Amino acid sequence: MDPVSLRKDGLLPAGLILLALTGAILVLGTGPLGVAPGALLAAMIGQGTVEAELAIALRGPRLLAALTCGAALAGAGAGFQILFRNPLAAPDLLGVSSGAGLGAALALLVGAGAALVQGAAFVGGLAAGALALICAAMTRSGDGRLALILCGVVAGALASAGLGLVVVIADPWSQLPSITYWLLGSFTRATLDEAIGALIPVTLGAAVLITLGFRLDILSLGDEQARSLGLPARPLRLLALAAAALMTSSAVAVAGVVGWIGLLAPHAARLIVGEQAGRLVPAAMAMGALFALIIDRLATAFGPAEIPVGLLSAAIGAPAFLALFIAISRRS
Amino acid sequence: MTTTRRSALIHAGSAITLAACGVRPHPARNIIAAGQPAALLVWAIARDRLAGWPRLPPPNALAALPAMAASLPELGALGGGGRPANLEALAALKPRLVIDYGDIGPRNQQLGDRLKERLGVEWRLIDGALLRIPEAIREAAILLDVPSGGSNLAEEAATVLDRWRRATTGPSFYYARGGDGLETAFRGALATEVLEGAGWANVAEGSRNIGLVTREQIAAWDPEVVVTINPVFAAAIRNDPAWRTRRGGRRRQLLLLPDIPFGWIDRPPSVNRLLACAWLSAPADAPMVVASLTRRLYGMAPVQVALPQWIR
Repeated sequence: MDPVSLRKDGLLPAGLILLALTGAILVLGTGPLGVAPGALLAAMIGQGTVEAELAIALRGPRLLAALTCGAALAGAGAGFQILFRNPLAAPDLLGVSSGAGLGAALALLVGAGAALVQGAAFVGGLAAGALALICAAMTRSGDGRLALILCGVVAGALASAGLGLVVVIADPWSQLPSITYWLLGSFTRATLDEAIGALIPVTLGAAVLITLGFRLDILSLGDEQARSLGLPARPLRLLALAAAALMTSSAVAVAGVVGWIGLLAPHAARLIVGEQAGRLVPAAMAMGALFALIIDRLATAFGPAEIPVGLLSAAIGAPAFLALFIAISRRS
Repeated sequence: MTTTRRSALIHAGSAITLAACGVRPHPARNIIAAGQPAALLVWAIARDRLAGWPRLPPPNALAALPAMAASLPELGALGGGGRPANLEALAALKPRLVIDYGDIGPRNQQLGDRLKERLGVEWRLIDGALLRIPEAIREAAILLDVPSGGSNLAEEAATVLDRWRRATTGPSFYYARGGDGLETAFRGALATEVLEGAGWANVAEGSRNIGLVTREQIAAWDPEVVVTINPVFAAAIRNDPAWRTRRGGRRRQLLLLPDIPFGWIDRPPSVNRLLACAWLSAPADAPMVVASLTRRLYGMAPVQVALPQWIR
């Protein structure tokens, strides 16, 4: 690889990460408490007012949750799109979001606290993903991609049916609003512990996908090609899918169902850094984090009531995806 | 086809459905409540006439009600939220009357007209406004053929509401709903009407409905009191400085309102709200008034009166 290409390999994703971090600093400086940036800086080094410390304590977890979830969904989306060679692949391909939604709704139905709801969502998401992977492993359909997609549809449909049942039996005066708001997504629920709790599995999943790097590109050619190049195709594919499912499940457990980030961010990143997985995954994660920051800021920009981020991500993501699609199709 | 013939046909056909559901018609229990607010109204006045619950209360709520409550079937709701009722199964109960209790706007009126036509049963919509609870009790008592049974409760409700209306000052508050407390009822919402009417100032300005807010927004509003009906949430934030610390470092108060068998300020918005009105208007007299109201509303004399708790 020539030095110019090497520099491009590292610089472009790094530039996107820097952009996301700049956005985070800007978001950290604004909020309803109206604390001046100088006071916030003083609070960060332990010399701030009570109000500035409160602002940091409240904005920090939310910001971390938005960055983590945005990056996780986008990274998982990029992983799925590469593995399936399918531009429409999204983090919910294995039914993970639906499973997480069912887990959270069940926990809300029994009156569980916030931490338990998050845990139930995480377990529900992983269970749906595992169901899809196990069912696909039981089939002998070519290189298994079609089987995975179909089994993911099945797992998602089963979880959606369960979720529908929970919605039907939920108390309309208390449980139903909570379930509805949870499903519509929000970064504001996360405490610092919960945001850090999500960061750990997301980092683990991202490390797997980034380390696999060029192997993901080879896997996208199909199992036969991968084996001919000496790669253990099935185990590697399973590992990558498990990593993507772990990232998705962690994000959905913290933020609820926030669509479009996992579909849009990889495409936007692809326009900048190209198709190679080693560059695409980190770049997509940076784009996803930035997108999550923007929608989170917008969610609180129109009065004290928060607009659910799931709604905003769809309202912004769908037209943005269309614009990207037009741009890509004209370029090709 | 006449309404009578239609009713006869519906009844004949739906008896089979009902039998399949395992619910047998009870000659005296022939009043259907369209929703949970109406069920509480009927339960308070003539509980032996209620055919079933639109939504069966949870086990801990049933434990605080007479045993009869648990024996009633869950019938589903007619309109509004919750699991919808099976119209055939309702018709097979041979109801004499369907009572709805709540908003008397055109939407509910039209819904009532449609269901009256389909079920062939009389449908009455009673105004669910908080200040009209005494009138609602009297109207329902007449409809249920127990005018004397409702008069005492109506008088007690009128006294409670009169005192509640005269309460003018209270702290600023944030009503925390849901497991994480970030779901709230904005100023003017039905869910906080009881507190606001007693002079408590709801800091959440917005849509006059239920919505989501951020923790930072709550801190910016800086309420004196966080009100909740969720004991799990109350326990979770009891020592959480982000929730309990006010601007300037003072400690924010935390008020846990009772929620068993039904909520004190909503859940559902029915006659149960009288309990909060009684406590807010005269906290000192509350144990006696609440005990009396609990017996009248729910049919149980509580061993120990559940009152709101100021959590330290």
